[in-house]
Amino acid sequence: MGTEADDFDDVLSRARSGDETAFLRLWDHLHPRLLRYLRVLGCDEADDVASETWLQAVRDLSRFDGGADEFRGWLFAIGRHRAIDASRARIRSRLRLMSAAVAPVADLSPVEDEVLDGLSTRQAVAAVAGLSPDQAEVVALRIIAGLDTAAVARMLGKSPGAVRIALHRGLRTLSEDPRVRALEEVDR
Amino acid sequence: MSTDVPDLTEPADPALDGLIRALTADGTARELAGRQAALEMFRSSRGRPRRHRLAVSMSTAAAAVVLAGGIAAAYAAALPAPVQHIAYRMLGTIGVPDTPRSAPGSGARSSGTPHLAATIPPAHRTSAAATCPCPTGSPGTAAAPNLTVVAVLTRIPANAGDVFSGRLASGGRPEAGVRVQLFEHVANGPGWQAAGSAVTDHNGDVTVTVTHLTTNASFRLAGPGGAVSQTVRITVIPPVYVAVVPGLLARVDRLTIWVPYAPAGDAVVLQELSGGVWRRVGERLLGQYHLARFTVLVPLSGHVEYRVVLPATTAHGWSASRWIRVAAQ
Repeated sequence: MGTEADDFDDVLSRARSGDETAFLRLWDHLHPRLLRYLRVLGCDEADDVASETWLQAVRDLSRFDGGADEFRGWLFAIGRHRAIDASRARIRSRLRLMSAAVAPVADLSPVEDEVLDGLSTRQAVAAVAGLSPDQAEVVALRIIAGLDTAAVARMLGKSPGAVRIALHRGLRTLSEDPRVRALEEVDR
Repeated sequence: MSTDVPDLTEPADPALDGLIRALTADGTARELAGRQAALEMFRSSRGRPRRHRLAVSMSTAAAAVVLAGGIAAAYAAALPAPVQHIAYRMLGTIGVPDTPRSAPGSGARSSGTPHLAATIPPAHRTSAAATCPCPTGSPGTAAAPNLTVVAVLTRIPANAGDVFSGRLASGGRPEAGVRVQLFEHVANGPGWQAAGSAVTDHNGDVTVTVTHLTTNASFRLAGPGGAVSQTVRITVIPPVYVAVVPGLLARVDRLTIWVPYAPAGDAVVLQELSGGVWRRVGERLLGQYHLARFTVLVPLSGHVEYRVVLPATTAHGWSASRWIRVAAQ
């Protein structure tokens, strides 16, 4: 019996060959996590950035050479770069500067989004986004993206030790967060 | 394909367990809302799909073909130069007489020996197509073979296919077992190109299916003896996808537009339904990823209906998105 990693590798291989069903499995699996990661980064255009991330990934998929873990890291690295690009563009916009001080996007979503979305997932993402930027990104990449410590360290240009420390501190802070403790009481 | 969390060795904590479950939960309905658009993106990003033509000989062609000519009719008088040369190559094997290359547009009739064009350089095809007096497709004389064609659809969604049915006849009798070539001229493209072929059945009917049409194009059939059909123009309608994203400002929503089969630089127009009439609100140009964005105000009460229109160009037809309702919160 193959492992999940083997399964992911197989799906990835078929997607690279143009198999639409395989691509949708990849997308179903990774797109929600990509959106959550981008929201943790404070990306107020997470949907747009995620779309552009997939566009770039699909465009370059035939040239991608690696397994499931490498693909996951590659996809989130693209997303990170696109989020940075979007952030730079936002800074150039006066409107963006004004809006940046208003409130985090998670607090402005309409009611129907709260119903459609998993409430606990949104709260969890908001809680992670409330950490310091370094801790938030490490937690997001380790937990949401599912990258290992070495991959996160490479992506962020940090040492593995620094990543572990940031993760430990971030999770400790989260474990004391009343919103996180309330998650267990919320139905999705 | 659930996500694990590799080498995460933090001490177990019920609160953190709940957090991790929430962060790694399956996608919600809203998160997965763009699934169809993602699939379209995947399809369109696999490179321009290589068209594969399915040539099927059928007896139920919708078009009537009247063949009234002899084999002596020249291709040269009836076909654009590149089409002509391809036809020589395709039909030479079944004994179709050839014409000198200088013949296109001249009205000269073929009387020469068969000439097979082994290859046709693209540049040659382009220049020839640009200058050739393309035929009307109507048979010039009662003696000329006649070939007609119809398309099942003349407006199709982008990346869809179409079916072309034709009939070849001579002296009122069907021509069976004859290979007929379908040619296409893609809008803004270099000229006529071979798009497929099929052999007529006992009724002289032939059907050719073309798939993955992403740009407006004209089609015609060409057969032996100078037979060429009229031109059928197919208009491609690109889908216009719209996603509504709540903006940072409380009363602002953002509309992200994606038109995968329209080229960057094409305009998209935001319209608002007012008094039963669509009124123009603004215009944007599609960017690198075929994306454009509008920002709209959320009304204090009630709702506003929007749609996004893609005006027709030479490359595609007019298209519009679904209606988007922006309602007071």
